Amino acid sequence: MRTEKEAIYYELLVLRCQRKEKVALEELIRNWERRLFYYIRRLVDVEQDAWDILQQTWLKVLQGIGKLREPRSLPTWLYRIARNTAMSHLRVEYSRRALLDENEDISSVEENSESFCFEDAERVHYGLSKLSLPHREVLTLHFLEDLSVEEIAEVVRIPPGTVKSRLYYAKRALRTVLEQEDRNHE
Amino acid sequence: MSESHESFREQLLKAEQPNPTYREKYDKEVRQMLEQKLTGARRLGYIGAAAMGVGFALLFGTLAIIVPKEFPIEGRLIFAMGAIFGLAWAVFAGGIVRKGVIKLKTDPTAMAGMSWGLCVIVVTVLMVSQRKFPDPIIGVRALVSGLGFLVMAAVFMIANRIDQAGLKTREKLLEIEYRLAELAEQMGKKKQSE
Repeated sequence: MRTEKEAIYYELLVLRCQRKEKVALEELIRNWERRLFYYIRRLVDVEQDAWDILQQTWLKVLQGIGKLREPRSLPTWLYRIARNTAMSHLRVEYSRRALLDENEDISSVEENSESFCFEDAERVHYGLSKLSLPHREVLTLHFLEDLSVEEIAEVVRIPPGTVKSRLYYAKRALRTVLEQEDRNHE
Repeated sequence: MSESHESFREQLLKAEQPNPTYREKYDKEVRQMLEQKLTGARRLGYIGAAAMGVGFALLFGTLAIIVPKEFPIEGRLIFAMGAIFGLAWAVFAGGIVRKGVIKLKTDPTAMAGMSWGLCVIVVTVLMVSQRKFPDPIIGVRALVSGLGFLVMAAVFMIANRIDQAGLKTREKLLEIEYRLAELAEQMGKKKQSE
């Protein structure tokens, strides 16, 4: 998913941030704020809260980037901080109830076992809002395309197999939502 | 990462229409976060440092002028250097207070360098003047403790320089690696198109 060039770029950017280059910090924020905001916005309902969480995320990033030992894992690290910040914002019970879906069948799902073609981004954007939080979260990370299945698993703190199954069911749910929407318009 | 995928991500990001008022507030707060604005106790600290610099400049400057004729010229020179250092520190700290912003990359390094300068000056003064102590034991004690401080400051300074040099070398290597990766990518595209 990530090219060698991108990986080197992340490493270089982190290094420049660690040397306290203001331009590098600005570059980091400029490159990532839209993606992180999109992700956070899918986790919280109120837009103003999402902006506050993003700001707190940057604060934590600026405080912690000096200690980041694996610069190439920058995307995972950023999404994890964003997620942790959003989760602290949400009530602990709520987040637990919403995110720990124990009844998922992770045994028999292949990554590409159902091929969907989601081409209309605006419809997908609309459809995401209709999904449950666990489905919405993994599907958003998947569509933002910064992370592999293993990295999504690291961010969401679930096994890679569960990510695969969650993606499978999330895509199915999204397709149902979009088909339902089409029927309503006919 | 294919281009069609990237454009899908872009389209998805464009579908999000944030409220401009919230966005503006966020932009303002993030800018402030990056600038390390001086507030409250920190501002007072820098005002104190500027005042201390002026105090040092006055003290060493006066000493350089009023010491008796028989005082060694080296000592007078050291006092003059102390005065210059104090003045430089006052100008530096005063500048930060006036701008109200700390530059994260350069200001702490400059502060460390100036503190090292102060340490060298004070210890040199101690070493020069130790012979003039009425009790030679006290003179030797002053010399030893001065040397101790000097060694500690030198170790700290060298460690910092090594760290910075290491980061700079790594940065240059990564820049080269990045260019190579860029070239490899371009060559790959060229091969595909042929």
